[in-house]
Amino acid sequence: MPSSRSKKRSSRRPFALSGLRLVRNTLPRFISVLLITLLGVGFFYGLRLTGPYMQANAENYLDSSNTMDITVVSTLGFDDDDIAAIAATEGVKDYYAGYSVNLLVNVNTNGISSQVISIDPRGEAGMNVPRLRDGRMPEAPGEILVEQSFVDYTASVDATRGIGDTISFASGTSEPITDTVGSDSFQIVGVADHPLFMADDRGPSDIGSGHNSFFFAISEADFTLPVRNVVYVRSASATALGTRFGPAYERAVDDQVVALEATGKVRSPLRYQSLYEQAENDLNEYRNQVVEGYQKLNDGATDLGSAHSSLNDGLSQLLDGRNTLNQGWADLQQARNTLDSGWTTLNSSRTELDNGWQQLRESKAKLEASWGQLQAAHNALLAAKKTLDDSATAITDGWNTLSAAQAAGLLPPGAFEAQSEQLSESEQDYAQGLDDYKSQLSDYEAGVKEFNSGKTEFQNAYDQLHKNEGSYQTALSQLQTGEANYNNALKTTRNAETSYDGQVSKLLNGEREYTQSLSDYNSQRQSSLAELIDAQQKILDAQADLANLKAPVWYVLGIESNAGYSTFKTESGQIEALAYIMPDIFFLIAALVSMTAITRLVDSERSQIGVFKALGYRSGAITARYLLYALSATLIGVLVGVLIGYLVVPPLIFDSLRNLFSIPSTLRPFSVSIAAVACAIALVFAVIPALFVIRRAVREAPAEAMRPAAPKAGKRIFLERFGGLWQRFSFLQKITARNLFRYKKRLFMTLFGVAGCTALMFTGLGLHDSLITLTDKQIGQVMKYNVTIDYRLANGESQADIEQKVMDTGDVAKQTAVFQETVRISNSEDTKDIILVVAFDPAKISDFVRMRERPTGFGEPRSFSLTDDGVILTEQIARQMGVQEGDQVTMRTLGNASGKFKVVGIMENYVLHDVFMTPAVYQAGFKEDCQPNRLLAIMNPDVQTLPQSLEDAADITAVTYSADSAEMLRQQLDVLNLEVIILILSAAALIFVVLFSLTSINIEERRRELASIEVLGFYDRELASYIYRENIIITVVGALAGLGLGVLLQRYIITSMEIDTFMYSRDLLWTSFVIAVALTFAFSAIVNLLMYRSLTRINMVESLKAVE
Amino acid sequence: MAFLEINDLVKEYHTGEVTVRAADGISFAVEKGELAVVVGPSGAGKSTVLNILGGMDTCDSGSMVIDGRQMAKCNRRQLAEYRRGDIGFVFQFYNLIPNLTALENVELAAQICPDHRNAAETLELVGLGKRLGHFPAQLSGGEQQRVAIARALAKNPKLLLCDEPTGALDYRTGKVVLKLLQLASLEQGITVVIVTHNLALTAMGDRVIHIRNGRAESVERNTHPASIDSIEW
Repeated sequence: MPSSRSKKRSSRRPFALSGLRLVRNTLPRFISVLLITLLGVGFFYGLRLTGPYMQANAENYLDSSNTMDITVVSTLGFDDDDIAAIAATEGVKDYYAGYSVNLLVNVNTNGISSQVISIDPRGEAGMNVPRLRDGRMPEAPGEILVEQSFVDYTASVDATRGIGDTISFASGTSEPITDTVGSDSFQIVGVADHPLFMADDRGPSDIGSGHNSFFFAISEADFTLPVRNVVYVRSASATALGTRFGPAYERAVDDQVVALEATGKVRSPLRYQSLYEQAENDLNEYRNQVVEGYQKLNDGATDLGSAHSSLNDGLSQLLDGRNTLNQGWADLQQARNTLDSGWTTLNSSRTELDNGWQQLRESKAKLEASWGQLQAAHNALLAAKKTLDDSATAITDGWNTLSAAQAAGLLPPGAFEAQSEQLSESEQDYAQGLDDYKSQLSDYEAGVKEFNSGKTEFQNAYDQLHKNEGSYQTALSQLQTGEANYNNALKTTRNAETSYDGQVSKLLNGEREYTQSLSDYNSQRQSSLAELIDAQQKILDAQADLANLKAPVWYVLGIESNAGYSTFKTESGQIEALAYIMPDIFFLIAALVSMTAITRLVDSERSQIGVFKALGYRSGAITARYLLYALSATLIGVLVGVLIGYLVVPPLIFDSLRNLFSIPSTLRPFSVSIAAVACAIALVFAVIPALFVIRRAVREAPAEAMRPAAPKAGKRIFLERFGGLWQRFSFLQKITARNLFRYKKRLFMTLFGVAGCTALMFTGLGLHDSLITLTDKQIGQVMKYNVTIDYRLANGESQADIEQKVMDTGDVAKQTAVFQETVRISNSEDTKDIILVVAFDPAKISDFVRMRERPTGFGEPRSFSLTDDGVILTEQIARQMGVQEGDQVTMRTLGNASGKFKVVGIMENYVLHDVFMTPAVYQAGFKEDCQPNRLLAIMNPDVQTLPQSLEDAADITAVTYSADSAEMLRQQLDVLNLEVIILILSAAALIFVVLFSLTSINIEERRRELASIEVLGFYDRELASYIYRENIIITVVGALAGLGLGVLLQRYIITSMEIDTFMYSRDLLWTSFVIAVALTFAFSAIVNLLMYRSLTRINMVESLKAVE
Repeated sequence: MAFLEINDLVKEYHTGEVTVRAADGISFAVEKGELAVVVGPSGAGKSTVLNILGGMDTCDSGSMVIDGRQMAKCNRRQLAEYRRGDIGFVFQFYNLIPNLTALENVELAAQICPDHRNAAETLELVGLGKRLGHFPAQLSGGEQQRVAIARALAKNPKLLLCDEPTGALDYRTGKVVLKLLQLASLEQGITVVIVTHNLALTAMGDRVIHIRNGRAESVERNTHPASIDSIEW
């Protein structure tokens, strides 16, 4: 039949149209199925994906940085043979042997404990590659990478250190820092994240505060340690898995750990042997050194002895020399005296001689003077003679001339007389002159005679003097000879004296040298002896060490022991734990409700189905019609739900997680399998029950199907058997009671929906409470102190000084000293790090830490006091270790002291694990003493922080405020809280949709009944309350059941998400009960009010028509 | 003025683009205490009139005066009040509340009426004194309809409206039911309006109204209504 196909097609169109119309007519139901599916799937998919989503990003980070799977450390470091053995171990794909040390970084005056690690010199191809945020990698020695939080921290304390700045380190021990790294100061060249430090935890430290605050990375070349002390390993099989999480990876890592431990067992005795031999050699060398030292000391003593005796000889020789010299000096003195008297005699004769000579010279001068006078007199005589002669001549002439002139008469009258007078006068003068001359001549002749006698006298004296002079000269020359002799002797003696002085000073020098040597020797001896004693002690120590030298122990640590990784794993584990159960229940509720909606729809379409059947449609086609309806609503819900879940939930949670972890967000993985599971579950719940209902309807004879479904028969309910009770019900209450139990399936579904949603919301709120209250319970209630002060006593400082210093701030109300360190507690299977606190004033510790059992709700919790009887352990670690009160526990310090302790109390505590004890218990257990290193203090009210000066003090290593710790804790919990809030909101949305669709189904199904009542003249209000009364009861009962369910669920989830370091509070706040119930009621009320219109606007005429 | 008087009643139903004029200006009146039978073919508009009369539906135009009150422009609240106090309804398919016993079904109606009858007595009246505690599913169709009548009567209504009250019943049972309705009219003076397509029933009516195409074709006064027992169909 050629036309049959087109006929068929055309005949199907109204059928298909009626399918579409079905959707349009039942749009609220279609949408509510869609929405419920969407919510269920979105929530389920989003939360389920969050774990893998976070892990994929973390994996990507770890893999791109080629982060280790395993860290190997050894008690004695690794020599080249060790490293080669690790490299050769089966399954090792890659390794890097480097350094990792704890140093104090100096910020202001504080030394902050930090981990300093080496950078794999292979760069990007290396392992554990740091991811730069800024700057560059260290290239030269003295360059350093820092982390962002260090930069932030320094900025916060006004000591900003950024790229280009220099930071300095201290060893934190008595050993110089140069034993560890080449220099104590480094220049910052880059800011980076490091895959080994994803979380805030930088690991414990054996210096400073006991916990590292920062990491730093420097070049290998900067380390001066003799051996490398850490080896990072990548396992080939673990790498091949391409994942970092999950049992397969753990197994691969465990296998590799086992292989490396085997290597360690092989290497350990070999290394032990080589170390033993080396130590023995060293020991022998020490011994030789001691012997040599003694020898040297003895030699020194011998040398000093001989020096001493030669000095004594020199001294006696000197004394002899002195005597000789003194004799010489005495002789010399005598000779001198003789010479001096000789000289005196000689000098007096000289004086005489000189006087004689003087007189002689005077006589001679007189003689010569008289001679001169004689000559002058002689000359004067001659001259006078001549004058006399001349005058006699002149007078004669005159006279002649005058007589001639008189005679010649020439003379004027009188002239003659004048002239003759003159001439007579001259003649008188002449006669006078001649008399003078004659007297003078006789004087002269007497003078000459006198002169001649003087001259003879002089001659005689001269001869005598000359003769004396000759004797003088002889005596002089004799004396001069004596003088020369004396001088020679003097010179000789002086020389002797000089040489003697030389001898003396030589001796004195010798003496001084000797004294010096002696004192040198003595002091040398002192120190040498001390050194020798030390050396001897060292030998003894070394001997003891050698005796104690244990084969090195290798600790092969899987990536699990990396704080960042494990914190991330637990955090994401917790997030995943939350992603199970609750979304499952959530999804289950959603699926059941959508199942109800769809089956009810099919039920109400019975007559329609009958009609189609009667019209001759095949069952398959009819089935398909309703199946398509269910499928389309569900599939659209699944698709949109998956999309929303994918886009919203994981990024939201991961972003908030990134406050805690430095993991770059690089991937947005989509999980097809989770989506497929979600889709499958949604379809199974929506489609399979629908299929059943459809089949049942389709199987009915068309006539029967077309007839209105017989209203469900009423019957007496169980309650009516209690006559007394039933009688007390008002008429309407009876009706309500009976109605409630009439539709058991609906009742159950609604109850389940309401209870489930309330439970979810309650669980969410309860978790929220647990997370929120955790911080407050721990900090403030258990830990009552609000600040801790870590310190290291300065030289000469006493414990009282430091306590006084803190009290002097005036900000501290009370304080108590404790010693705190990290110890390992172990049982047969497990070893865990816990914090040991030794209270030095055990009576006072309860003012700072609340030591009591966790209240169970029955009676007052028992309080503990710290005594010398034993230790008090915190609850969670006690549970993890399976320790009961009265049990013994084994603990080991980082310094490897080990001891057994009796547990006398297990105290309430929520964060981390502590063990408290008294100093006596510590001493008794570890056989060691401990000194306080921390003050627990309670600040005065209104005081937020202690003065900066205290924090900056050199002896204060750290001041930690509980408020800051609380903030950190809160941040960590915030991530989970976010998830919980998502949960609460989703539960709220779900409860709304569930109530809405169940109520609307209820009304839809009871239209006829409601219309009948309306016809009777019930007012809108009465009509509504007819239905509301039922709803209220269901809501109340459901909500109460939900609370019960929620308590169980919350407890289960808390336990399943609990991690190593947190014990979540089991307490439930009354507010969670109230809010959960109130929200449920509120939603129920809103839904009922929304329904009011459709409830009261039921078309009586339509609804009461005989047949639909 | 008659107890019940409708004038020019118009009612249109709109379904999408299709408009159906169910009542196209119906007018008739019924005196107090009369038993009126409204007959007409299917779709003539008789049920529409009854629904409007009963306050279950409203008219688009026209007037409806019942016991001197204009009911055409009443609001929901007034209509509910009207249904509550003045109207008793009997349907073809009884519309009992399945979850209530016969007695409770009657009580449900009675307890909202200020001037109601004793429920048990009313059931006694319709002959179900022994079946007070039975649920509708445990009763036969006739019994159910009698419960429905008892429910309507318990309210002491001024007007008893019956839509095909025997439509789902066999002949004998139908007669019992009709008898009860007639008794209500005769003995209690309740104005009864019965809508049916069964022309045989016109004999029992004090007044017979023929409706066709949404109009009252004729209103006849039957001075000697026949007893139910004499009516055969």
